[in-house]
Amino acid sequence: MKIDVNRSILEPNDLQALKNKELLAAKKLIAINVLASPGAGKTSVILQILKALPKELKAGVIEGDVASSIDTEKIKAAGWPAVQINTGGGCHLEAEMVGKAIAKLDLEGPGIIFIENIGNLICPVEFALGEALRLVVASVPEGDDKPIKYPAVFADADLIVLNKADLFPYIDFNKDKFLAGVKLVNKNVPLFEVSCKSGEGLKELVAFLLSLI
Amino acid sequence: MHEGTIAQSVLTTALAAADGRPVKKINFRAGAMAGIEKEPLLHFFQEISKGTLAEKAELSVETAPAKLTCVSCGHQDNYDGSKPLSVTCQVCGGENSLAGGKELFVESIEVAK
Repeated sequence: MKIDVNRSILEPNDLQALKNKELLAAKKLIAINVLASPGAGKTSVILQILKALPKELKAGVIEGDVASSIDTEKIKAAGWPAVQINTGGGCHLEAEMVGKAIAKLDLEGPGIIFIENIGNLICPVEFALGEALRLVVASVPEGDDKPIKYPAVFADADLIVLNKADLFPYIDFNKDKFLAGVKLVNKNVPLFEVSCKSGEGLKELVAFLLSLI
Repeated sequence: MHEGTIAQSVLTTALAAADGRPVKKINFRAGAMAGIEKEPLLHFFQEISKGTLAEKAELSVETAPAKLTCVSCGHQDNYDGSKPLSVTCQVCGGENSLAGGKELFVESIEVAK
């Protein structure tokens, strides 16, 4: 006997993500889900944005890693509250683990919670966490073909940051090729070239981010 | 790659729909952009369904392509991940736009009466 089901298997996660979003809204907080491959500069970009936020805005970070609390320590050392999620092998964050972390962070808004996802351009894409915004960090040394090779993550981005712009003179990176790849999968997504090392582009990025929230 | 998690979610969804009846077949649709590999998924499913009402179920995985549409001439192509993605339209050389192919859907199940 056939039974029509027509259900997304992501439904339980999506429901929890919605709960997370509502929980955050009640505290006048929004979450930004930061995705990138390992080493692209998620933590660095988050730190640079945190430094530039107006004092009236509260902020905190939920760090996702397979292991270690290296990034959480960096954030705390810079003066912001942070909570670590270790997946112990899991390749992406899910809404349930983020929900628990939000409670632990215990932050009151108005403000922003950055969720630094596991370094991975594939698995985190399908899993909503309750974010208001998806920020994807690409970096110059990774090469200009990443949007074509990993279309799903770039397609889902609300904002793309191309980090390590200070390395343009040293890497064979065709900017037009990169931008064409982004346009293929995400037509009008705002894109900012930055260097966390030199500070280039960060002012514009932060100004734009603040205009969205 | 997390086919283990996906297999678990497929199993949970199917068992819920089966409502206590043995499951014979699960029709699952995975979008090409969802990053799921069929073989590992089948393997994981076989393992985790042991001891459940879906133990003998056949998991049928259909890959749903994403759509590649030319912004200039409207020409459409399916993208299922088996060929390189083309930024330009093969017909007119215009710009392509990619959409869809992200679903992870249990469409239907077959149960013993």
